[in-house]
Amino acid sequence: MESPIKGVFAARAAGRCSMLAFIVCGAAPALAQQPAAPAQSGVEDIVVTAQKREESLQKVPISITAISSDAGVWGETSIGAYSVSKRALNMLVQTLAVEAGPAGIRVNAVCPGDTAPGMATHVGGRAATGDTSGWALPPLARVGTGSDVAAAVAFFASPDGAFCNGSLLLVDGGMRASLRASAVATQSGGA
Amino acid sequence: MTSPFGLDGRVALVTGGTSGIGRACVTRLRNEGMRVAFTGRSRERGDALAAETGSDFIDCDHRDRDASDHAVERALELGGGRLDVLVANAGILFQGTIESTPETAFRELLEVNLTALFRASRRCFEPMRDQGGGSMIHIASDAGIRAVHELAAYSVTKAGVIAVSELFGAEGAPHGIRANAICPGDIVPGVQATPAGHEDHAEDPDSWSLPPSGRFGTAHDVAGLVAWLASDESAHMTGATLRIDGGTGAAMRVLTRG
Repeated sequence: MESPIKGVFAARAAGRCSMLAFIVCGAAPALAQQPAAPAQSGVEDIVVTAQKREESLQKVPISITAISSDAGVWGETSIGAYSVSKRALNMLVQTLAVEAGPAGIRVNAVCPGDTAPGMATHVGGRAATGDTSGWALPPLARVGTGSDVAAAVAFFASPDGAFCNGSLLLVDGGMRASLRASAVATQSGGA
Repeated sequence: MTSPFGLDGRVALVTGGTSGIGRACVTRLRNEGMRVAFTGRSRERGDALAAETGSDFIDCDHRDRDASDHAVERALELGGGRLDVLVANAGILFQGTIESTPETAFRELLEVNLTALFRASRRCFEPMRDQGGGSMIHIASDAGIRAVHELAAYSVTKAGVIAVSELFGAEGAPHGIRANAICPGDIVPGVQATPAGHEDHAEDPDSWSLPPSGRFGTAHDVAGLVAWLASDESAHMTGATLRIDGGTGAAMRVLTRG
């Protein structure tokens, strides 16, 4: 991972080499497993990292991916303020997608569900326990991992995701696919 | 006059009640026999509306967090600790794309449209619970459902308003507290309140195209929905997001009459 570059537009102007820019907003569970990425809080704290490729695979290489949450798609009362902030973030992503699209910049959001080991950064600095044993499981009968989220980010950043813009991608094992999805794994005796 | 909605004698607070949708709500809820307090920034307009309708004006700029909190306390005092209906309507608008939105304007919209609305709703939760129920009505926007990118910051805050409303709906339901978000489309004369120094960013309906219904919405249209949501006629409605837009949001590219 190369040094952070301030501002994606700076990244775009940085040269002709194909660059994949990641913008990461909000403290996300996935980041807890990536020591290279500092803990984030608030939309104003933006880290953009760029990765050079051997050759340009697309004319339009810039991709911004926000780490949002399934709680921004369908809120949870136990994490109310977080849900509100992620809903607002999703709208920011879609607004920016419309605005930046003509410049060839794609903006998308990954919306992870429950991801082990849980978020480390809490308001007031309280640390998460990392104990996921009490979590309700999604229909896929396991909690998510940082790798699940990273794969979704990689997809958006790659040429495979070249026509994704303004997408909100749930990576939640199906938890938001139904009203009572959390009961499915239990009922079928999964995991 | 006896209210067909059964709202006689109940207590309401309308934030941002001196103009537009808020003003129409003050008038309508008073006409339903409610005891109404309302906030606003213009003492002149507030005093006039209070005198005209027999309601209570509370001078308040919701950009000021202390003043905003105090205004809610004052409304609870006026109602003798009772509050049946909160119409959280105060809002400001900034016209601009997300790239061109100054952080100061973004923060000001967040403060008024989202944080003040959240704080007012949270403060009203306990008295509503203690009295056995209440109705929170959050004035969001169709821009909170699908972004209007020229109203970028506004869209972001209104998406948050819908989330706040849903969560209070879910959390309040066991206590008889209902919360619903109203999402008006284009309402004439448009939102006139803006961040400080950006008065030229007020909405101008001249550039709007008509919704499928063939006319723009009015504050009166919205006030009718507010009265219904305030009443027990809507007793099983909570956590809902209601468009009121003449059909604009019903499909992506709607046909417009004439």
